[in-house]
Amino acid sequence: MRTFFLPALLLTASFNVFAHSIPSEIGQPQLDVSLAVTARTDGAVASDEYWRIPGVMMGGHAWPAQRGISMDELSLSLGYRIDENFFAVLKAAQHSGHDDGPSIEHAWVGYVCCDSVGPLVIEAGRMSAAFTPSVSEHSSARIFSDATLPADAFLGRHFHDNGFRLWRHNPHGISFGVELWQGEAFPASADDSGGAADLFASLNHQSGRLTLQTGVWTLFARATERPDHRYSDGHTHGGIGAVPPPDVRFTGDSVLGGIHALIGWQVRSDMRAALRMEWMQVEADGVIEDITRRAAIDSVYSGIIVQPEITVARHSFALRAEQLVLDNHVTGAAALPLSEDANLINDHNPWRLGLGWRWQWRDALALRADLTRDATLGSAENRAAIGLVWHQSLTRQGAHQHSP
Amino acid sequence: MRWRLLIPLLLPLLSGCPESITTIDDAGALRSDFDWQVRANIPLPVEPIDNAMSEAKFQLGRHLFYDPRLSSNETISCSSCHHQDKAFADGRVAPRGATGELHPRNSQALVNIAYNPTLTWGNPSLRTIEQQIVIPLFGETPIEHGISDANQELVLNRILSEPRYAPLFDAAFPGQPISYDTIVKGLASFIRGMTSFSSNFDRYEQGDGNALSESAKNGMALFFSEELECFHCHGGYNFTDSVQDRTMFLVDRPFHNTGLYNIDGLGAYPEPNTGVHEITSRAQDMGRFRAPSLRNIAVTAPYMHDGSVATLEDAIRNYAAGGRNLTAGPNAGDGRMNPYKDGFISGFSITDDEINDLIAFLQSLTDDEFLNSERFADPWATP
Repeated sequence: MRTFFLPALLLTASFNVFAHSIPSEIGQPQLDVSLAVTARTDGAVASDEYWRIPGVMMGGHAWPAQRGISMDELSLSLGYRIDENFFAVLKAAQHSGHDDGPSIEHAWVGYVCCDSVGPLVIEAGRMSAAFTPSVSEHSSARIFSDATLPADAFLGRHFHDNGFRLWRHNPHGISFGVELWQGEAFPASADDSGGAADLFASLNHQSGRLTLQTGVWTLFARATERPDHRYSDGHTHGGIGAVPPPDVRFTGDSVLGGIHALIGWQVRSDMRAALRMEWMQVEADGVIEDITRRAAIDSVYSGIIVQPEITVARHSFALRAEQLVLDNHVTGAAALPLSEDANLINDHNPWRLGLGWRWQWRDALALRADLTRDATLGSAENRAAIGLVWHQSLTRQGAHQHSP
Repeated sequence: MRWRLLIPLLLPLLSGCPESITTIDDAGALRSDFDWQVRANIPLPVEPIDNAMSEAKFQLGRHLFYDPRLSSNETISCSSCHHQDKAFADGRVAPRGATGELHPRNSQALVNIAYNPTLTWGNPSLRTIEQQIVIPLFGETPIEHGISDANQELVLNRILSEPRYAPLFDAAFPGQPISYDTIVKGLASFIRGMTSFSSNFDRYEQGDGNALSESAKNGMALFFSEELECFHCHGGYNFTDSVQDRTMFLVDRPFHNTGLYNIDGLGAYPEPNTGVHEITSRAQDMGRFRAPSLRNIAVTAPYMHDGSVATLEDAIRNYAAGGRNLTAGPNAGDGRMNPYKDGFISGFSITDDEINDLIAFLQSLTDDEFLNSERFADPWATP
């Protein structure tokens, strides 16, 4: 039995652990640590260049993969069940790509009614969004060292914000809920008129050898003069390169929607095949502007990830294909110069193809390596990465991990 | 290529995606009846509704620009104080008018004037070339061309009597009589059409990595650095923060006090050159002048509104010191302590080699085509 369930457990526990959990044992603190260190033969861009995918205005935490050794993730998470109904979660983390130091990604309090993990859950504070696993999963939870391309391009990789979540939680059936956000997370802005809200529904199903996790979601985000926070914070004109990107900002509404699915098949006791897929679409309508110029923009983007994978004993292998389709229509006297400054001139579909291997060497330690063919910036480049992942619960297991 | 084949082979879902595209509708912003001779990524200037650009107006204005008959005593033309080989500055500290009166200000280069939201050195209310041209033609303080009520008919008759003008005016302003209105509009069209975007820097920006020397590249890095701050007032495609074009919905008209003087210890500049203060009489406008374009700056010495800085090196050293400290003479005073000095004139450390690099970069902004183009040359030199 142990050999049968171990791979499945590793798959779900190691590769599908994202940032949401409900501590379930009263008075038992749950302390988790994650560390992912990766060495890459090349970066997504040169060290003195800015990673801006042509055709889309990026932002958030979508920092480029870096040449050499980088600490992709270091996080410490504390969960605590206060009483029968209340729990709290704190998490500090640091990610590669910027020098801001560790940040508090989670600090929220939750209320559960009427069982230990539901079905009704109300949460408020600083949280990761639950509408799609892509925005809350961390580097240590993946086979691949890089985040997914659509999440980087459309959602700023991570989605941490101050907000409120009300949802019906069913770990073995249909869950659904609503989230309201202050707007700090890309693609929204956190001013008086900014903010975001989303609706999500998901299904967790297991039948014999088949497991299915799937969900649908929609996100509405409003932004006012949203800059590319990655390269515009502070009074920096030199930045990492000699000439920083022009400060073109977006004001308007973005409506996003997506479908995600993980279909798993237990082939035999030590082998499991799975197919991950996610498709998301963005419709953004507003204006782009700099200090003196303005133009209307109407954008429709879509992104898709298809990732077949197979796990044999403690080894997992995956092929990941990702592609974006980016359509923009820019109107106004300043349409051309602003489109050039915002890096929107584009006539190709950015894509990436990866081949990944992860070896769960110990329960808490994994080695992983991947080869990536990266054509997000036009010409295709190859890079290889190898890394070490440490993900461990430092206390007794006392939480329910779930996928909304 | 083999990698790309994997996508349709293994994952047909992706291969069916349509191609990305960005479409641009500039609402006619790139349309003009005039050939502005600017490269594709430079926006076009604004054309006045009542004086749209045409080649005929440009050629008429070119003749008028070089014609000394357009002065009271036929001694000076516009070109007397605006020499093509000096980017239409004149190389003197200050020019003299038709009667010999000395102008208090240095002749400005006429480079990409079409992009200026204000004209002259320090007048926020002077916003069109047509408005500005009236001042040298008819102004009395100082007298430049010296045209007045007493002689304006005489001067106009001189123009009317020149046989080359009749077809030029007819082509430029068909059906309209020759008048000072059409003279001014013709002159404005010529000056508006003087565009300069063919320097070595422009070639470098368009991908010619050899267009700049290593020294100029070092100077460029200094120019755009936070330490020197040059680009704040001299940035953008025209190397000035005072710029307008037809893509803009908001036009800023900035003026700056660069700490050049402080003759009373309270920030005063020598009369009558007090900048925007001359117009507004507000203390905070003392010494505020428009930052000129740095295109062709290497051939437009001497510098500053009064020509009081002889060389680019002197100008850089003044900025490095955070202003100019004059220890003797009638204008003595420590400009570094001027209370109205712009915040970006805060001083910086720079070596002699770095100064040379910065000068090399500024020299790379010289557009030799502009300085030698027949298009802007004296038409009267050929019969």
